[in-house]
Amino acid sequence: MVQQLSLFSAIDDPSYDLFISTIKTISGNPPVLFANVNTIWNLNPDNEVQQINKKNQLVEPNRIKLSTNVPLDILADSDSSDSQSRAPRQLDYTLMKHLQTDALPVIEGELKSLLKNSGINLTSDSDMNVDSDVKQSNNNNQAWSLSMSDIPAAGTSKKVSIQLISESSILFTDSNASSLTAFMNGLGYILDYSYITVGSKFFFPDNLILDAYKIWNFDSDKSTQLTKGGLLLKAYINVSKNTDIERINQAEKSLLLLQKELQGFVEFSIPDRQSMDSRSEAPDII
Amino acid sequence: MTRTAVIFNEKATPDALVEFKDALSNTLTSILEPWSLEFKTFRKTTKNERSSNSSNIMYSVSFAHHDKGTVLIHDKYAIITTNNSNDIPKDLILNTCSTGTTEPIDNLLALRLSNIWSQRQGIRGDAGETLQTTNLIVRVVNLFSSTGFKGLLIELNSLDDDVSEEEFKISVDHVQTVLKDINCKDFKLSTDRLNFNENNGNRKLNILSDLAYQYIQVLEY
Repeated sequence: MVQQLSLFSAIDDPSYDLFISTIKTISGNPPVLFANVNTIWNLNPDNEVQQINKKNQLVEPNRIKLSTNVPLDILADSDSSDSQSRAPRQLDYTLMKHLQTDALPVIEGELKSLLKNSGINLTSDSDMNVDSDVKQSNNNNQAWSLSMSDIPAAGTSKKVSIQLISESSILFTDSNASSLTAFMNGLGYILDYSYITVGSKFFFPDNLILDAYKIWNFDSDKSTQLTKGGLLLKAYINVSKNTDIERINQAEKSLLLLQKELQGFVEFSIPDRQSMDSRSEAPDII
Repeated sequence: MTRTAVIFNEKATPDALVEFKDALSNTLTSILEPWSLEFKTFRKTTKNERSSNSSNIMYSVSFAHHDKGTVLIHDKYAIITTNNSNDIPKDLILNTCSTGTTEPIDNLLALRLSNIWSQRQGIRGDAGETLQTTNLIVRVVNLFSSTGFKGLLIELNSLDDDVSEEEFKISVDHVQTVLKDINCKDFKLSTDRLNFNENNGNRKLNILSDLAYQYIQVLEY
């Protein structure tokens, strides 16, 4: 289990250039472009799930997140008027400046086939008809990360957000249908929603990472950008041993130092923990 | 491609492992490092009136060998996970999908999904022997559950990456003969394949799901 310590903020689109050059100076590292697609799974309402297990321990039903990287070569400019050739002008942090509309930052067909190869269909009947395209087996080695997280720790004295995350890496899915959807359905989960994240990432000393990113709600009918007009900022440190108090304290210090350093330009703060609640009954975040 | 088989003898005595090793000793080329295995069964605890066609049992097979993978199998769907944080694909970490620390998927099931899946039984085999013959890697281990000795388990891997079904069958038959010679007769053998698509993707991982499927066949049915 990983303890993730984080602080959040946001900047508007015009500040992006200044932000990049500032952080480049502070971190001493260049920005790295990243992109991922995330699918959120919730409990199948057909199942009656109890809050306690057989040993009478409280286990709150939680959403599951499956996420994978989006290959950078299927990224696309979203403000380019020509819908045919949406290839990005430059595949680096400057791409973020051309992603200000609702249009998806990826070539949609490519992404859909990537998902389909892992057995994820975004159409609404996905949870029923997984067996119908059984024969469409594949050479799919797309790795996925399966994670479940707790609601961030409570307490008004907290200076940074602390969230416990459990994660397992799926290297390969195998069966005649090779279907993640079928597997998740078997587990008792159905697809809830999915989203795409594209952003720039900075590496700091002490394993501190600062992500500046935009989020798109990925829906087969209508996709929208949720971060229109700006970028979300997330500064975080993952402490791989959740009992390592010393490193947690050190991580908190590093985050607070960054917060202080950027004061006046970017104000980092703790997000409302309710908004990071992934329990099943909690309202959808997107 | 590499082929695998799993043999399980419920009626063997704990001593059968040594006898088997002795019987095989003439054909050994080397002895490799020890291995261990964990096999878990989970049962679905939720009530679901509508779709009862899906199985209520989930299996997890964790290999300490084979790159520390854990395979989770439900019906005929398998997912292969790694328990070694160094094996998380770099692409996942660099694209913020993974925090860089992975944990066994069966832990996740036992910890966070125990309201849906409750663990039934765990079978373990620790410090098993790995023997190499001219054409096989033979792994032998005594399996134990919480109630005691369960039986003798043998995992066979073809040494050659490109062995034909017939050639592999001859090797497996030889092991069966050895077992019969030491009076270890009532065993179950599985050479079943979970996925029949020979061209399917990453073969090394493909083998893992076949192996896990074979374990289920001999240990559960």
